[in-house]
Amino acid sequence: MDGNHYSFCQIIKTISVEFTREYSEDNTKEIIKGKIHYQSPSKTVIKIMDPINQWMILEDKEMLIYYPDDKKAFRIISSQNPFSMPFFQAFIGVVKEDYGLTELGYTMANYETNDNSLISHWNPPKNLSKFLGKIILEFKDNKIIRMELKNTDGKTIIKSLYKNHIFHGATYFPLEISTTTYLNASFTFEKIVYRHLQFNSSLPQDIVDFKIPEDIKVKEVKW
Amino acid sequence: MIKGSFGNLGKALSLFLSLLILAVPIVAQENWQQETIAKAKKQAGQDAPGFIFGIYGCMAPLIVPLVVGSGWMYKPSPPPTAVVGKSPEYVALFTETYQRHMQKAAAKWAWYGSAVGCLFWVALSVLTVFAAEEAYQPYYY
Repeated sequence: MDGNHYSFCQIIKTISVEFTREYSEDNTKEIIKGKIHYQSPSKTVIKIMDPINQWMILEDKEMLIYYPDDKKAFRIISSQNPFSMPFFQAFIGVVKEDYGLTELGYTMANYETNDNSLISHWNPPKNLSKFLGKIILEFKDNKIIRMELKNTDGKTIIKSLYKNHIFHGATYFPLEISTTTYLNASFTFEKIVYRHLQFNSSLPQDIVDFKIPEDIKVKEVKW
Repeated sequence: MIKGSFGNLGKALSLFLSLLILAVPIVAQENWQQETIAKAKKQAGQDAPGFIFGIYGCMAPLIVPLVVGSGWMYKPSPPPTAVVGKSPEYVALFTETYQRHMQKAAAKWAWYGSAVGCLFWVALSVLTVFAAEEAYQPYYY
């Protein structure tokens, strides 16, 4: 574990937070509501309540999807990358001063300061510089307010805005994250609003001890 | 006669409404499935790892595209954001379609790489034979 990860685990043992996610693409809009329970270092349980009763358990390279009402379950196993929910990773990633970019192989190219704001520009790993563009992070009063990912031509392909921060430990956590992804001829928009945030509280026992009931046949998808 | 006409019209209308009640759920289901397949194809198009499979195909021509295309070794998982809040039927159809289209895209790139790899090996073989013939100098007495 590096220093950042160790201090993150010291600060955050568990997180529980309710969320609403709005996702818009091609003139359609989806809204889901639920609750996330996170247990350091790598277990995330997402309980969706609306529009469907669904549990998603992400732990390392396994994703379990469970439907209590339909009595169905899927187990999806990846042989490569561990599973994570990007909109929640964007939330907890703020604990790291560099947003975890150094761990991903990015290097800071330059930075500029203006009043209370800090804008840093990050270069991608050298071996991926032909495929990945730069990342720009903007902080104001120690709160992350903007992240932009550019392609190799310098065009913005992902832009995230962070608002409504709450202070815990030594970090400001954004309770609202809006992300626009620019595709070739269209774009997608995602807005996450978090509420009733709890750090280091005891997780419900059904979350800690969760197991698929034995009478439910689990469909496995693995490679 | 007028009463008979109204009777026939009423029967036709009842039949039409009955068919409509039966047809709407079927059409709705087909629409739902088509939309899911379209979304899975679009997601696979965005996620398809082209270049790396081109490299693999170049390194092991014919073998890599055949293995990848068969779906035996390569079964990519859909991203969690694509299936969160979705029904089990959606997850099953999306995952199956997503995997199939990712396999197709990977196999396509592997075939491109395989073509380049084959050309390389053929050229290398020709050069090797040519160099061997040049090195063999018969002596005439």
